[in-house]
Amino acid sequence: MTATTGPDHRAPDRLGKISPLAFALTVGAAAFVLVSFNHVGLSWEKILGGGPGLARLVSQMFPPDLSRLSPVLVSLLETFQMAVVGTVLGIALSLPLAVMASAKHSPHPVLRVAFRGLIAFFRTVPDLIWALVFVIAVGLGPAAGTLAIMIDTIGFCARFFAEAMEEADDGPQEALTAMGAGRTGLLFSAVYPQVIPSFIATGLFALEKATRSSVVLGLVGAGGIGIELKVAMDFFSYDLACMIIISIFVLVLMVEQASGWLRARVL
Amino acid sequence: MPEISINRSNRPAETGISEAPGIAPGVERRSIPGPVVTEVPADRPATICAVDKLVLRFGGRGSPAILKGVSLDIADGEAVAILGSNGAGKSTLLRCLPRLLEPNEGSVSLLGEQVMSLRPPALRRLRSRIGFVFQRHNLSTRLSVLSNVIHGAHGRVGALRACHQALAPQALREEAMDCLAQVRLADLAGRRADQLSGGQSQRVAIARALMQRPEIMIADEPVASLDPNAAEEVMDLFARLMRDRGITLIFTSHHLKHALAYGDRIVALKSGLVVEDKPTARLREQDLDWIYDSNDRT
Repeated sequence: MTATTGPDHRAPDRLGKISPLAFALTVGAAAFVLVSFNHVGLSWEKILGGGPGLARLVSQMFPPDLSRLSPVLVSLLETFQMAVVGTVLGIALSLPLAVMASAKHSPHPVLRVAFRGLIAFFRTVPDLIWALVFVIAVGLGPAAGTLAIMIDTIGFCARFFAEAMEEADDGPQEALTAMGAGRTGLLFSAVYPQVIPSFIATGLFALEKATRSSVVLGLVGAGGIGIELKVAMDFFSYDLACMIIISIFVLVLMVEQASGWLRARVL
Repeated sequence: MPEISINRSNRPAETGISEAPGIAPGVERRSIPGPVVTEVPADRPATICAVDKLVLRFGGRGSPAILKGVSLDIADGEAVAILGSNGAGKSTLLRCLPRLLEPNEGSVSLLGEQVMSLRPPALRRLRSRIGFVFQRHNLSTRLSVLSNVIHGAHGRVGALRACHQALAPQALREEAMDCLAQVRLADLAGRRADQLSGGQSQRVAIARALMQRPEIMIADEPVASLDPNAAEEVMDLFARLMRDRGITLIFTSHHLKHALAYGDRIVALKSGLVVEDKPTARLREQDLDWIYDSNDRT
């Protein structure tokens, strides 16, 4: 049997060499995590000390108060409608923005950088801030929440749509280019057919995310069930709050189940 | 398997029976009777493709060239087989013809147009007259066979009408079905392209190229990914369709037999240079073996 080791057949080191900069960054990151633990004041004493308070809250929440079930369900429907409309608008606007932000399909590198920046801005500003902005712009109510969800969806979907388009197989695009197809032809005949499953999956995730977000947006007056929850908590009606939380849980669960089923069918 | 002429010396004879000027020893040539459909414009130039001192390098000026000054003239109706080992520059050369790759130096004249000086709209118009069949078929696999064939009309109709069979005008759908019938796949028009065998996929790619009503056909190792039987079938079909229409065919292959059988002329590339350019009638298989030798005879 031929020897497989020796000066010319040495196995590579178990761990790759680490540069001084990478080592310093790793140590710095670890130190930051430790300091952060210390700074937030989290301790076993605090966690265990919170137990009785939590138990008291839970005992006041049950049994849930069903007397206001009807108006809560109406608010829940409004919440879901905000999520649906905001997601649909966000996805529709994400499609052209994703083209502009995609490295392969953007008409110009400057436009690509500009649109990537815009999408990143939409994504990095939290939806609650967007809701506050739109409450000031269009007033209290579900319209503000819907616009906030739309912007948040663009930040999420446009980025993933652009990435999916960049990862699409080049073969069909090369074939279409060779046939004399223009940019629109390339997108509709070679790119979109490939990435539609990814688009649908991302869109469904966006709807799940929007459903969860739309619950919170009510806290700042942007419509939906959030305001009901806030009022219940402020008035110490924990049994009513419990009913609202269970309703939200059921809605989010239903949306996630439906979205998971649809994703499995599409992919 | 249908009986097929695989001689393509210049334009097809009106009888449909090829006039073989000579057959390479050891290569079987067959001829078929049958109608000839010629759709070639009368005013087409005699030299349909002229490549002059083409140089292409990937990367900067100091990087090694893939093509090192390739020159080549191809006559109207000719079938040219381009041979060479991996990395010789065959696929690169083919992609330079319709400027899918931008050469660093040299010029290409195709169908009477100076390809390098064309602006994007004119380049797209020229490309729409050139069929290009790829080794990996390059179909939109989530779309139906019919939609893929209709894509061939992109150069003639708007992008939205050519992107999906459901949006295509009736005349376009009928033409696509006719192209599919010619590659004997009309019964699979509604099937999704990712449910086809390799041979069927390549026949759909050929139908898509026919849908372009091409005046010249370029094929980059069209049967490289197929098993021997499917490769034979697809090459026979391809060669017959090109001959029937009098379409100039430029194809690359690793199969010497295919090059000798389906080409009128063989151009051999080695390390980015043309090292052999002869009519197939004057070549034997063993004459070409050296092209694949690692020892450089250039």
